[in-house]
Amino acid sequence: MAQLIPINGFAAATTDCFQPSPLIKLCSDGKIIVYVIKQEMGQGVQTSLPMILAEELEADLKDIVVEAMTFDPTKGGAFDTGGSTSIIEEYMPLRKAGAAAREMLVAAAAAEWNTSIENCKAEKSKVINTTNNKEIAYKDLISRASAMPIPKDSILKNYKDFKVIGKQGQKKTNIKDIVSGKMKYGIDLKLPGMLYATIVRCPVIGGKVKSWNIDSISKIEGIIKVFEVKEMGEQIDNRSGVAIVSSMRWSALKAQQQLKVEWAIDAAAGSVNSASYFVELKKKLGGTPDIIYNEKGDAVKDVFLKDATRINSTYTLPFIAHATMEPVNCTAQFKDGKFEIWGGFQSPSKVTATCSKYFGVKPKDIFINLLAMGGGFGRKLNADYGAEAMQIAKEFSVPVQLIYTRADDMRFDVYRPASMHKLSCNLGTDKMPEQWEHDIAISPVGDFYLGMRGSPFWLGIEAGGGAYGDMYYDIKGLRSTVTRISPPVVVGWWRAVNFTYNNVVIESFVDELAKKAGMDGLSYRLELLKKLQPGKIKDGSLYNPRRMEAVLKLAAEKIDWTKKRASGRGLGIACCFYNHAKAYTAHAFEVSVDKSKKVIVHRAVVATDVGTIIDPDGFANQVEGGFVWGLSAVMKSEITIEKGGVLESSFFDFEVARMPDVPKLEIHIVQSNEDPGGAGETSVPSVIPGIMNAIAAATGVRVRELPLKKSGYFF
Amino acid sequence: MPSYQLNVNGKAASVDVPADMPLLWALRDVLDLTGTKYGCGVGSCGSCTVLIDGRAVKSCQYTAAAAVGKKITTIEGLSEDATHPIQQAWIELNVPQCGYCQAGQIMTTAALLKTTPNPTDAEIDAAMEGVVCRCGTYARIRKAIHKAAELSKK
Repeated sequence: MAQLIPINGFAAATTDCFQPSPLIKLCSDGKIIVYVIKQEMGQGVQTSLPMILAEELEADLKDIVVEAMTFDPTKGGAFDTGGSTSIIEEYMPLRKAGAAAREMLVAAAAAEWNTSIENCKAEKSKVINTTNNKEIAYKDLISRASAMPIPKDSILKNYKDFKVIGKQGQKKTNIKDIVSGKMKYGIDLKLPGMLYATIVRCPVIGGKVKSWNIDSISKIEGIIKVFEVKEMGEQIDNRSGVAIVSSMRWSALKAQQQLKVEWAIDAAAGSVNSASYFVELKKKLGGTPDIIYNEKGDAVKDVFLKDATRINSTYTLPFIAHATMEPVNCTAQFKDGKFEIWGGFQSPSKVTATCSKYFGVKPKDIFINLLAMGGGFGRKLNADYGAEAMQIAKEFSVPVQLIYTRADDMRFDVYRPASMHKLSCNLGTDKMPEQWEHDIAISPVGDFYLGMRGSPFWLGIEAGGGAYGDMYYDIKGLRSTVTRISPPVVVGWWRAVNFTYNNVVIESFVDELAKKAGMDGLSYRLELLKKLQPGKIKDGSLYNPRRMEAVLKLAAEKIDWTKKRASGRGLGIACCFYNHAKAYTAHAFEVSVDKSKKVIVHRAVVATDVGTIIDPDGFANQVEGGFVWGLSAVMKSEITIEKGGVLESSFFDFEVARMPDVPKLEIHIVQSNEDPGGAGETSVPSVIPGIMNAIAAATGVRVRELPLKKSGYFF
Repeated sequence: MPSYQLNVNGKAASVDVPADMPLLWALRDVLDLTGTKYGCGVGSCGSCTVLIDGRAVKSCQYTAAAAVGKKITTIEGLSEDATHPIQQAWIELNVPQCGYCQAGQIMTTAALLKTTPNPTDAEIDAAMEGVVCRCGTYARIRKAIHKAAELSKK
């Protein structure tokens, strides 16, 4: 039986609610509350997920009230949000919950009218008796519906009858709050008696606080306490530092600038810089690999590797920061042996798991108030900032808000790993690739996020995106290797992570092979796909090469691929199979490059197939955002290491795409009734090699180091 | 701490803050006007943009003390209920993703349209270059500015 929930005391007489599942509550005042279990960070889950439920419930969208689901530390990772999986994971549970509630409401109406359920249909938050056109609103069925048994196997709608899923013109459910400044993010929280904290952190991993000079900040008013912040170990991966807690945020910020701290820094760690790190990566590429993946055919035979006709290319990609517009922050309070924290977290389960262990409390004694995030992109999957806030709050009984300045956010991020890739391949008599070798040297994400420092098992993550049994082209002999190098900075998930290196270098290298074969980038890719059959590939994911061909052909058609261009113009195309998010994307660009190396993007086209699309305009927003994310990565963004620490501190030195850099993107969608795939990351990767390939076509010069600004290019 | 009399969104507001406190923190932490966002504190991102006597100013680079005697307008002061033409255009084009930078984008647009009621794409790009959006809503913002220009004439 469903639960009938009277809303407190006096109101109970007028408002009853029933909650047939944790995802939905219907009330007699007409409100239909949808609880969103995934975290909102701009990707639109508070719009798309309610649409799925409304579809099956036959609810009028105007009756839907969206609420973030209250965190439940016993639910494990159900609240975790990343990897473009929100819709993939929630699609069926939301449909089933909506259908079950609909069937209960229909059964309640049938009982009310003393007729059969076959004579009733649900529509726009009401049930209609088809024999006499009588109607009862859902809100008038609450009590009766709540007494109905919850159906076990509800009948889901046929996609042909969808009215909400795929509907154009849905506005973001929080848009009015955003444009009027009312939207509350973690950093906007203010609690009674709240204090403000900043931390001066050791710039080098593993470095420790030796001492600090309190006199250096003695003149700043409002400072309450200055004390050491301890490193909390693996999977939290915070730095040793000094906390400054003040009654006023401005004085905590000023004191952070002025406090003089002495550090004990390991000489070797403190001498690493970007140049020395890349020298090490290059050395590793020439050595014995830690692990081999993807082995197929004859690729491992040395005889092939010595073949003088092989094409060999080495690609270099930098560390990159997330730089979410809202710097990471967290408010925490420690009271009666329990923590309560407030903030935006992509993985609240990571916070409870790591912090309950560190602080010696039960997971249920860390309650997280989950707030909207001003951008996530993978940064907020980590627990470091929550753990730091908790460590500081333990010194007080009132809540303390820890904020990262932009410089902190930039210098103590969990970066997209830097990497070097050696790609090597020969062509057969048919001009197609024969023995393909892809060697990767990298500091792996698994070292930190999974707490598996140095474990080769997790190196597989670093091969994902085409070098981990997920090669999406038909190549006779195949081998990829990964070699680990000790990380100079914390690395982590980043929008489309491994695809933004492996897919990028594979798609760039395929263009190099096409050139050698005397073929254009499109024909060569289609040739590499045509014999492949749909089915499971080596890493276990389902792959349909026909869908890949379709997006490539669509992008090519829209950019007039075969049309002759004026001299100086170059066309580039690239594609991506985002295996775990079931998405196929192709980008095509037309560019020219002037003498000063200014890159003008004349046309930018994307074709994408992510299966069923829930919210088309929200999806388009993700594809547009993915494009801009890719433009930043290909041209501008780079984190530099100097003396073991990160150099960049703001958007002046860590450059990202700004409005003048961004041309119009023409979006073309393959209509599909396949199960929905993911959107957030899937349209990022192929932007990067697409631009690289177009520049190579326009100039005849292949650049193999990112960002392109290092070679003098700019938008 | 010294006391400063400010005029924020047409209302008098008194703040007792250090002389060097940026207007950003006076608005957010003292006056609870949290629609204006902190993004970098050094003028590199534009999230904190407000209007001072109608001009777009990065409030992290401007002290509360310096704002005395001037008219300050924040996102909260643009309209009572998201009905300003710029807000309407933003809604019509479904511009925001995470929304964090949008107050800065909208206030910069407000200043632009005051001096340039019919901006070209090039004028928009030049005016908006200082405001970073990491979600990548630039193309929609550009369209929404044209739309807002049109709505402002009605």
